[in-house]
Amino acid sequence: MSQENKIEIEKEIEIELEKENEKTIEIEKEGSGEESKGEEEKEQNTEKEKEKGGEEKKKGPTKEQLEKIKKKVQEREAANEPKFIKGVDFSSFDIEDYIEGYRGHTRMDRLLFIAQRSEIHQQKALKMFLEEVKKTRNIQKYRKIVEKYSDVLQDEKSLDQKWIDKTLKDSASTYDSLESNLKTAKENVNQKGIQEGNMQLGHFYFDKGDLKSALKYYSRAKEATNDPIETANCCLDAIKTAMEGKSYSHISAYLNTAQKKSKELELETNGILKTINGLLQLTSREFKTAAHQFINAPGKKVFEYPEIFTSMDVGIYGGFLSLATFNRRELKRNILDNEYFKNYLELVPEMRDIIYNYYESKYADFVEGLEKIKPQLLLDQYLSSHVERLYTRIREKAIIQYFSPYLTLDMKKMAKDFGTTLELIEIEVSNLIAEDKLAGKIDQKNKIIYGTRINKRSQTFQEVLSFGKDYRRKTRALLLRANLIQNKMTVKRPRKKVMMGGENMNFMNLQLLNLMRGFN
Amino acid sequence: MEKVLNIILQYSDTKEERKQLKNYLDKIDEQLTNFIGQLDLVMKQLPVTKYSLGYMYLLAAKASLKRFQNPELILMQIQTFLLQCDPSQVSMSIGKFFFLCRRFVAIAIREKFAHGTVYPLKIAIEKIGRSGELTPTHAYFLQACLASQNFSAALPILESDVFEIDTKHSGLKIKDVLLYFYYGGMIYTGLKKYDEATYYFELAVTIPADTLSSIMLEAYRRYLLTSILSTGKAPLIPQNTSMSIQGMLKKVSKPYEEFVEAFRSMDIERVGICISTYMEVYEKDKTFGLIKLVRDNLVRRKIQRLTKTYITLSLEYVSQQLNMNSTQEAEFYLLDMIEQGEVFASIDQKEGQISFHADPEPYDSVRVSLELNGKIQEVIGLAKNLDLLDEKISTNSNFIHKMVIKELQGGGNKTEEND
Repeated sequence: MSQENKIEIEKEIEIELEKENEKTIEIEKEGSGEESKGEEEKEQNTEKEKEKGGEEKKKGPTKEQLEKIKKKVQEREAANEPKFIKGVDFSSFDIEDYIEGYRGHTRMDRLLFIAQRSEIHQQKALKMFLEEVKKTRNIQKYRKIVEKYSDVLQDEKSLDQKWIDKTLKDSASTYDSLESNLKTAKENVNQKGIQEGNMQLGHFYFDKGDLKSALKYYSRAKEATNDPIETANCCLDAIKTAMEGKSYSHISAYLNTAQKKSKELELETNGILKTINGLLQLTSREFKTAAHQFINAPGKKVFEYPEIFTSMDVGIYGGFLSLATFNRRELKRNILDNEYFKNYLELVPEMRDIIYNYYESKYADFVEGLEKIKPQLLLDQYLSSHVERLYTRIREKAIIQYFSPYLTLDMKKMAKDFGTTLELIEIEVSNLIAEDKLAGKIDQKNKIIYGTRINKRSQTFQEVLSFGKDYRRKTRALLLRANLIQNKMTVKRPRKKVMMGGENMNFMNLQLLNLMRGFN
Repeated sequence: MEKVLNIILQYSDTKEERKQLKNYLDKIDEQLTNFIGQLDLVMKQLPVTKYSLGYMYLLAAKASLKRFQNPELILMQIQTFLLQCDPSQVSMSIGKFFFLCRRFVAIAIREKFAHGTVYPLKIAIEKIGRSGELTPTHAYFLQACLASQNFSAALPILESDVFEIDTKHSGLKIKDVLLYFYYGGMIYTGLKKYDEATYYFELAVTIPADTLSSIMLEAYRRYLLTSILSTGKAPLIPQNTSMSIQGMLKKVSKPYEEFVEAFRSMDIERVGICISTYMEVYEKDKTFGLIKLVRDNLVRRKIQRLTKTYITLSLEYVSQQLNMNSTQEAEFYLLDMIEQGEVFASIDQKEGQISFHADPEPYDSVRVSLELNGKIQEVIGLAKNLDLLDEKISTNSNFIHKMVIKELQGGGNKTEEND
């Protein structure tokens, strides 16, 4: 393969990989590279090749490997492509109201998220997105979105070349001045200056959209200081960056660092860190832990961190997740009796009403309220993918709670209260019974559910007998094994590799020996 | 041969003499096969019980042949021997005895006479085994029962729980152990006692092992299937399986793992597809019968799930849910299950409705209390065994030696913990 071809292909890889950067960041750990994905290996290799002036390396990417990488990248992009959410009426959702509380990059990200999921809001959201992105220095993102959605954006279809040029120039000069500042600070061993310089560069790269470099500088800034408050601030900036890049391992690492000295931080900062921890748990589907984080975050004052979340978000996330994961007692203790969290809940009266209605068994209002806030939750960046699952859970809990005081219950009434048909409610209830979540039986002819009075006595007998049987079996097996081992009897590998004599060497044994050789 | 005969006649009275006789016989053992033609004559002259030791060697020499002109004769001879032999003499050369039993079963199976071996072997077990001890003869016995489809004959032996092992006394090999449990499982399967079958297969699979044996593999596969038949749930690999072979077991049993997965999904169609895909494998492994039973079982499982959820149900609904062709099919299955006692229900044919009842067992009879008592006694006995074992190990000099070394290496900080 000729040198020129190679360089061309390398360039192509770089472009693909930069696109990848916007979705995921994987920073090579200092020293060793994390090579879980083939793309990174190629990236490292291409970088190394460039350094060595393109000498022939044994592990250089071959043409087929490149094709493979391209395919993988394309497939992954296609799979992660966000689609419109069907079947939900988003007309009650007001974008401007929603985005009001946020600042910085998260405005941009959330607007894009909404644009990709709600058909009716797409145009408006995209326009607002473009306004936001022009406030940053992220030329790449701007370009990418304009190209992608050019058919939707009618007037803004063309690239604003003026803005691009201005930003490029501006970036270059800012970069130069920041670099020189940092250099000076380093030469003078001005610790404060070094830290500030690193921070500034971090902000710069963050604004530009180069999240990888931003994190690099933020971490350097963090190391340059010992003050817990400043460390926490650096961590928050780093976390912000990592959240945008969805690099969750980094977030948890920075959270740990920041929270180490939590006693010396202000209550507010601690609250912010806890909330971020909650978001992290949410992304790994640890709903209950997340709920606890959100609820325990608040202090006397209502806080927020508009670069990632608003105070209303705390109320929504906390309330919603608690509803989905807490039992009645926990709900009372953690939400209804929780003074501090109440302040947040007041900010989102719909959520507050839903929870109260659930607790007071006002099922019709409860179901109605739940349906009403669904569009809003679906358009939230962090909750969206979990909404359906959590809704099912909440509904199940409601059904179980609904049934619990009754010995017999008419399914028709139940269907009406839950706003669904008789057939559907029967399916839901039978599933719950089959999964042992509801103790009852359905009388299909008369459409009644009978609560089962469990015969404790016979149940006890059954349990005892089965436990005894289990114990006898396990103990006997144990004695057998102990005896075998004592007598040094185990199934051993045949000592000779050639077929041993012995009348019972059948075909199976032969095959097995071959198989085992294969395993070795 | 004359010489041999005379020696046997002379040296069979006292224990001392017999020891010498045994040594002598061991020495000339190989040469005995040279005199095959005369063996019958010699044996006729020796009354079995008095001269069991000598007789045994002669008989074993004859039995080691691959082919027989008169197989019935040798079978008769062994049979008589087993019934009449003297345990004290025979136990002096126990290996020979087992060899004889093995040949007995092998020849019998070839001659389709397996059923004739069941009773003699049972007697043999009683004669030479200490109670509760596993000997190779147990394995052969089970093999005979299996070959002759005489399952119930094996039950008393199986239920007597043989778990003691003493290789010095019994000359037991690991293969015999594997075979015992494997055959045991097969016999219980034949008796449709799937719960016990699963237990025996599990025992076979959890035998300490460095390497996979084909017997263990077969046992594992059947373990999967009988486990489903008895509990209706898809089983996990037994907990105490040796680590090194766990992975191997799974890899080589892929058709069965897939089948188990299909069952777990409770989807009748998927199960059907799986069966047709792997039919050849199942037929080759001779597990096809079990597979079919399991598929049948799936339908019953589904019906049982319905009993949990409903008090009354229409036949229409049942046949719909289970993708059956008609309500008649649903009725047929239900009737069968009611008769078998798998379900408690009554069918109202006019309305096409089924009503389910609760389990009517009240647990208040004398029978139950007797059963409970018996089980409690068993458990106490087992616990005693465990204690004995524990004591034996902890007073074992090797073990104490190791522990002392460990402590010394651990350093001073350990002494506070040990009181």
